[in-house]
Order: sequence, then C-alpha cells, then structure tokens
Amino acid sequence: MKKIAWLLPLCLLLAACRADVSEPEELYLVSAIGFDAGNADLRVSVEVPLTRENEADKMEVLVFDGTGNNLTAAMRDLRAKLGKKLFFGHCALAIFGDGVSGDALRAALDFLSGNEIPLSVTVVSAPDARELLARGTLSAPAAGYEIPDILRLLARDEGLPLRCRYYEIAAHSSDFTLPRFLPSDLNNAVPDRFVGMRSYRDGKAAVE
Amino acid sequence: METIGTELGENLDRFCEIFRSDGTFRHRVFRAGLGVRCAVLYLDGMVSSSAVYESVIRPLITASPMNAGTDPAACAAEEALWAGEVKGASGFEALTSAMLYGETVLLFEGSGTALHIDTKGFRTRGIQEPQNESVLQGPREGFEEAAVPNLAMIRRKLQTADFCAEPMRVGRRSGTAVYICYLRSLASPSLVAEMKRRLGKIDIDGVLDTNYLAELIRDGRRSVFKTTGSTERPDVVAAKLLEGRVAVVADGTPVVLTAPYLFAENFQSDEDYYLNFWVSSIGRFLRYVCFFLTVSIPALYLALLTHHQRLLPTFLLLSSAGTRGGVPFSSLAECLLLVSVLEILKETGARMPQNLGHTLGIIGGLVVGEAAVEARLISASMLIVVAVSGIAGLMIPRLRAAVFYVRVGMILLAAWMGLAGCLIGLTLLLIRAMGISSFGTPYLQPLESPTVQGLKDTFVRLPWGTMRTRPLFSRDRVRQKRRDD
Repeated sequence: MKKIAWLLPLCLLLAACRADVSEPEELYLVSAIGFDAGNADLRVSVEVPLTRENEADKMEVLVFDGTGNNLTAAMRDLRAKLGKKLFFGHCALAIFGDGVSGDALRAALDFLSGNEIPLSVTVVSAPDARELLARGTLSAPAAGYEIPDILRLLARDEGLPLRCRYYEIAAHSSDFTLPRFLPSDLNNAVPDRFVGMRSYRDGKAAVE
Repeated sequence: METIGTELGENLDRFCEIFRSDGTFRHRVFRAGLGVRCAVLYLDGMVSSSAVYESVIRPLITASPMNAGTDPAACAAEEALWAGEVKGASGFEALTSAMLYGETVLLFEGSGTALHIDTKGFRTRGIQEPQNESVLQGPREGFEEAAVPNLAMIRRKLQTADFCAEPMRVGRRSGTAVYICYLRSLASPSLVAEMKRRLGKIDIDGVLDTNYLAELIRDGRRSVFKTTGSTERPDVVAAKLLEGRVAVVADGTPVVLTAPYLFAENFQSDEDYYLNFWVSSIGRFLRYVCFFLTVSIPALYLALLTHHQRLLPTFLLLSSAGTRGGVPFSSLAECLLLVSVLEILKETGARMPQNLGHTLGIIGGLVVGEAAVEARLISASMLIVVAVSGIAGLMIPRLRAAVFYVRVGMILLAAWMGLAGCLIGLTLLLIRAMGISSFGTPYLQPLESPTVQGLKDTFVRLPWGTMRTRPLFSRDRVRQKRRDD
C-alpha cells in the first residue's frame, strides 16, 4: 500500500506537475482587453482594476497599452511598461477596434484562445478600443464589468441575443456579429452606449 | 526466589534491609493472644491506621491461644483477623509488592508463611467531573487516580458477573497495578488475549499514566492517528465494554484506555447518546465536515491564491490582493506562521491558569488578530481562513495531533502543486488511514466496508431502537432483538 502511495506524487512529477506560484499582489488582474489596428501597428490595451491596500471596497482602474507591428511585439511592449505579470484569468471583456480585421482579427482571436483568458469572455466592437477602456475608467465600475452587465440587461429587456462570447465566435468561424459601443460622454457623465451591431464576414467588418 | 524463614528476627531484619532508605516503613513486634510473637509491617500513608489497629493488631492481641502444633499464620487468618482480605505468601518479593500497594504484612515466629492483609488507606482525589469531557446532560462522575475505586465505578454501571477485571503488574520499578476489563460474553477472546500479550510484553521502568501503555501497545506506533481510546468517564467505558471492547484501568491515573479504537470514534461525543438523536446527529455530521474543513481550508485557499487564481471570484481575488499588499511574507510563510501562532495560542490556553484566560483572549484577539493586520504583518483574508480552520478543529479535540500534522502537510503540498497537491494529500491521508488497524480491526470500519447497521452510528446517530447490532469485532453481535422475536 505504501509503495503505491508514493507512486502517485511520482507520476505527477514525471508528468511535469510543477510549482507555478504567483502571489496575487504580484499580478495585474486584467478585467478587459482591447485591440486596435492602425496603419502598420497593432495596439493592445488592458484595463486593470486595483484595490487600495486595506481598502478592498475602493477600487481604481488603470489602462495600459502596448504597440507593435504584430500582437507579439505589442504584448512585449505592454509587458515592458509594467512591473508585474499580467493575469488574464478574470478578463470579462474583449473589444475589437474598427481597424481590427483580417490577420489582426485572427491574431486577436488566437490570443483570446490562449493566455488563460476565459472562453466565456464577452466580445464587443468599438471605434477605438483604447478610448472605450479609458473612458470606462471614469464611470463608476470599470468597463470590464459594466459592458457585459449592460448587454445582459438589454438581452433580458429586449429579448435580443446580444452577448457575444469568444467560444460562440470561434464556433461560427469567421462570420459573426458583435455588439457595438461608443465611449461615454465625459462632460455629461453618460455611460458607455450600446449603438447597434457590427457584423464580420470572412474576417472583415461587413455590415454596421 | 528468596523466601522467608521461621525466625521472626531474621525475617524482620531482611525487611528492614529492603526498606532501609524508606522513611515511611513502620513495624511493630508484639506477642499475640495466640501465644506467638509476631510483627506487623506497613508503609505509613499507604494504609489506614485505624484499619491496621482494628483489623490486625487488636484482634491478634485479644485472640485466644492456639492449639499446640498449629501454624500461627493459618490460625490467625482463620480465627483472629477481622480484615476483609487476608492472603498467605512466603516470598519476600510478593510480600514487598503487597506492602507497596498498601497492604499490611504480618510475620509470625516459627512460621514460614506470612500474611498480607488488605488495609489500603491512601488518600485519593475523589469523584469529580472530568474537565476535558464535561457534558451538558448525562452522568457527571469521572475516574480518580486509584484503580480499585475506578473499577467500582465501572461495576456500578455494569452490575453483571460477566464483567471481568483481570489484574496485571506493569513496570519494572513502579509495579503499577493494571486491570484488563471486559464483558466475557461480548469481548472476543482473541482481543482479550492480544491485549494481555501486548501488556505482558511491556518492559519499562514505570507506568505513570495509561498513555505509557497506549504508546507501547498501540498499532501503527508512528501514526498520528490514535489507535487506542482514552476517557476519564466510567459511563463511556461501560458503553465501550457493552460494544465488546476491552478497557485497561491503571492505578495512578484517571485515564482509562479502550481498544479497539476506530476512526469514527473520534467524531463521537459522550453526549451524543444522552441527547435527542436529532440534536446528536447534527453535531455528529458537523464534526465530519469540520474535520474536512480544518485540514483542508488553509491548503485550498493557498492553492487557489497562488496557483489557481482564476478559480477565485474576481472581487475576492482583488480583495485578497489588496489585503496582501505590503505584507512582507509569501502566502505560504504567512499561512504557516498563522497556523503556528494558532497552535501556540491553543497550547497556552490549555496550560495556563484559568484566571489568565481573559488575558490570553485579549492578546490573541487584539494583538495577533487586529494589530498584526494593521501592522501589515499578515493579511486579513489569511487570518480569517486560518481562524476558521482553527475553530473547526476545536470540534474534534481527539484528532488534535493528527489535524495539525495533516493540515501542515496539506499546506506544503498545496504550496508545491496547488489543487493537485491538495488532492494528493487527501489521497495519501485516506491510503494511510486504510492501512491502519486497531487490535485487528480496520481503523476505518465501518466506513471501509459500510453496512446499514454500521452507518447508523457513524455520520449521524440514529435512534437506539434502530441500532440492533454491535460492531463487527464483538463476540455477540446482536444488541437488540426485534420486538416481534
């Protein structure tokens, strides 16, 4: 019996079970991620909520971005700006900017399937993902939590299938429709607005 | 073996030689009414002075002369002495041993036999309620330090000739009186024989408490799980004997051992059987839950916090990150530190005088709890988790040692391998427990091969009317006959 008992941890060790320890305070918890594509550049923006020390109920939200000629370079640039590791396990929202299509869209979708991002992440479109995230920081809850809630409420009130999650998009290949949002109005303190749907055909924005 | 001779003076000198350094040794030589000189020997404090005078000296002095040619020892035993128990012996060792247990030795001129008379009179603590096993409802008497009154307490609850209390002496120098108690018709003969064999093999200087015996006779000596039970309550011993178990009563301690002792017994409270079964079942079930919580909660939290952050709710993770900000220790070090502090507080609480309990509460609650969090030495979330674990552990005091070691082992495995480590820890714990037996009975019975009857007194306590059989190790398994039988 004892011999069998020792085989169990041994098997796990042989199966490359290893310590991958990260203290929570050493992580930037990403609540939303945005992708924007320019002329030749790709920009990745992340929204990171932070709680103040010993004030767990007071949350502030920071937005960081990185730019590169492809997604890997953009992420490298983003990580270089941060002193902590990014953790995508609680990412609730992914935003595709208007310029994201073709290779950039495929790269963004591939990125969502990796990096421990939950497959149930809500995906929306916006003219500028970075701007939507940055404005969202000024409205009470972070955009990463607010927009999925807005969609859930709209779906409940109007009966529309508005929640577009990554695994649904992946299941429908390259043809899908995303809810479209405009950033909040800073002066009038209007929250982010749902303005309709944006369809993608063969990886390109087709209908608005 | 050295035996006594017929010369009173020589025998007396030999006893004086044996007890030359014992200031409590007393002897008196006098001429008995039987017509011979005799000597009374005893140890002061171990005997009742009035018993020695009333039952031994006075009857001997006032006795009628014996017939010529009669053995004075036999004549005294039959015609003169008033004591309840009088035995003859001729070996110095046996007589010395009797004196050491509070008996009075009587030597006669011209006789190669001496008498040892029961005149025990040492003071004992008296019957009190055991502090560690107090109940809200039910019998409140507890054992004391003398074995014979303890046996009487058990016998009062089991007024049957079936009750056996076989004496033994254990300890080369202490010569402690030990009694193996069982009900002849219920205890398996092999269990009784095994207990005698194990006790007989003990070769130790002294036995000052039954734990000396427990460590020497138990199965799985290196295991953190107890495989012999212990109690200070006669009602508990009687209940165990009624299930076919064997009890060991040792002189000098109020703690009585019982065997076999199974894992499920750790979750049984004395009071379970004195309260309504609905009430008892809640407590019983909660104890199992608390065992799981106390050994696994810190490990699970540590695994989630450091390995599987995505499994924690987002706001809990944010909150944990916020409360951990500024803490100088890693989560593992913080967890082990708090577990250690918890054990220190528990140990201090158990050892310190009762009137200092408030001080401990203030120090433990305010200093360790609030001040340490404010000083950012520990995080509030980890403090809460370890405190919950500690409180849950208090529900199962009999598993205290096992809980500590299992908890620490689980924490280390969780820190190393996350949830996989927790799973491995629980699996190893189960495998280890399945490998233990107590006096031939698997430690996890009745969980290992569950039966409906066995489970009626395991996770819950069903009404007495439904518990018709005794445990598997019992000689006679029928506890109650059906009403229509």
